[in-house]
Amino acid sequence: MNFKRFLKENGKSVSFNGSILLFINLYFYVLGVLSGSKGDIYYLNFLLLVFYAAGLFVQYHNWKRKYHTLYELARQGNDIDIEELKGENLEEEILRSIINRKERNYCENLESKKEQIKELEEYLSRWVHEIKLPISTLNMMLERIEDDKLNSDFKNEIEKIKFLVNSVLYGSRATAAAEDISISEFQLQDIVKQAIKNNAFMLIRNNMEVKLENLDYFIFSDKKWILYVLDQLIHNAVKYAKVSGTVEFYGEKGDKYICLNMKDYGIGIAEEDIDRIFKKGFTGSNGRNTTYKSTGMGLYFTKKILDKLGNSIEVESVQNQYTLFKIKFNMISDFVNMTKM
Amino acid sequence: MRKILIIEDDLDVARELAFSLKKWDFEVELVAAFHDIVKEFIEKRPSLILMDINLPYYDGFYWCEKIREHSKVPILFLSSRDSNMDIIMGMNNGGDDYITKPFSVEVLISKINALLRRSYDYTSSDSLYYYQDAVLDTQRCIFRYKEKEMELTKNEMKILSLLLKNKGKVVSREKIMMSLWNDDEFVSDNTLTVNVTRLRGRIKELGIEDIIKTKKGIGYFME
Repeated sequence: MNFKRFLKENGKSVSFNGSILLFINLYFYVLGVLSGSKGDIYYLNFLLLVFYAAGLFVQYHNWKRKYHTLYELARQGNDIDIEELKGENLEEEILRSIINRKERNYCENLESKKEQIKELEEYLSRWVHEIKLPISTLNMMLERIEDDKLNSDFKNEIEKIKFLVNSVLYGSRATAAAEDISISEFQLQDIVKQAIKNNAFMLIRNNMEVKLENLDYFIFSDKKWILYVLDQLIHNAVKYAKVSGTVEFYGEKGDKYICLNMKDYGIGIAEEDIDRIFKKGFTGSNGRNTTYKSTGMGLYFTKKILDKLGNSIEVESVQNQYTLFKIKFNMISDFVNMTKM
Repeated sequence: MRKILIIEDDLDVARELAFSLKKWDFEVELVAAFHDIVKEFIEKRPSLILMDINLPYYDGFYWCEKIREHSKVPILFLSSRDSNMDIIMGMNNGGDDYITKPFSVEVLISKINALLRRSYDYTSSDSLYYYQDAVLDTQRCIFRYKEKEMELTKNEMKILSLLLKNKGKVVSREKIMMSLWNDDEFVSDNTLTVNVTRLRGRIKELGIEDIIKTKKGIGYFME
């Protein structure tokens, strides 16, 4: 945005004006008219040049004022509002209408995509509610099966369906644009017990032992989402357990957070996999080897949700020995500060 | 016998619910005319209502409020909706409890029993179990044989009552554990074995021999 740029853009007009002046001077010179008053001609030339230079300078000034804001905005890569593009030139008008149309198209596209996603989400959540009816019916019909083995096998399958249906619902909610979070205070102990009860059948069937310790802490978070997260983690613990296993839950108090540890003594996670377990679609060697199919979405959603809630999750593992998940809940003072941010 | 009115428009669920409840000795009525539930309620006079939320014509919240104009009958909401909002709405409209589908029958029954107990203040016979000359009092956690009384721990009481409730049938270890876990007692398989062994020993002290039998690899039973 300097004078050089201005001259470059207006080069044609400047040189055209210059050549006119030169031509007139040449004309007078060749014809020899007015040759007696050369001084007057020089004086006139000088005046013309001064006026022209002054005019050019004013023009430069206007040019600079007009484009300065726009230029700076563009240079910094900021969003440019259509309002900034003032002026009534044909060029500017054309530019304005192009940008206007593009913006409108873009907005319409965005709206229709949003609408589509919303419809899909609504459909999904309605579907989940409807599928719960036949699941409930199956659950009750189960009481009629007298054969213990068959009963238990059936129940196992029903539990799997329940888990999968839940992960559809929560998975879609986790990625949804609409927030569905309500924070409240509750005791770590209650939520862990609830999660264990939700998965009691699976844990018992797979011979898992459960140990609780030191969970008398109060935390702030969203109960439903934390339950979902624990569901996922418990499911994984069972999935990747050895013949029989143990899951330990214990609380821990740091200086800024309360940490819920969940440790299982299962097959663990390979060192090369551990950095990627929260990545979308990652299944790792464990996910591929076992009889259970892994979708690679469970831990991805888990992390995503915890991030949304402002809680964090870390993992430690030694292959063939244990896996330890640490969920950290900020303590109240930090929580308040955080929401203010 | 307590009468329960099921207000549920999905016939499969309603039928199975009725089936399960009958097994637990409740008298069950289904709603046929969903446009005037209040009338059905007045005609049938149930002791407790199981209410779905998504119903034709009006939703469960509406009917709950309407029924409350006539009666204080305990109302238990039964819905696949699980948002906090729905639960709060249910309670605000006069519901007594809320259970989300899919639910386990055992939890449903225990909620129904709790509501009935609270509402009608009865010390029901379902707190007493008889076995030959012995009585198990589940409310006081006491096992009595002839003149002798013995206090049981919570786990022992649970195990014993389960076996007595299913007298003559084998109760699988899984089932016993599920029932204990439901009460926040997350016992392991080994612990259950230890608990049963101890229980046997203590019953022996009372002078009854060998009433809990083992079905190897499956569970326990009492004859």
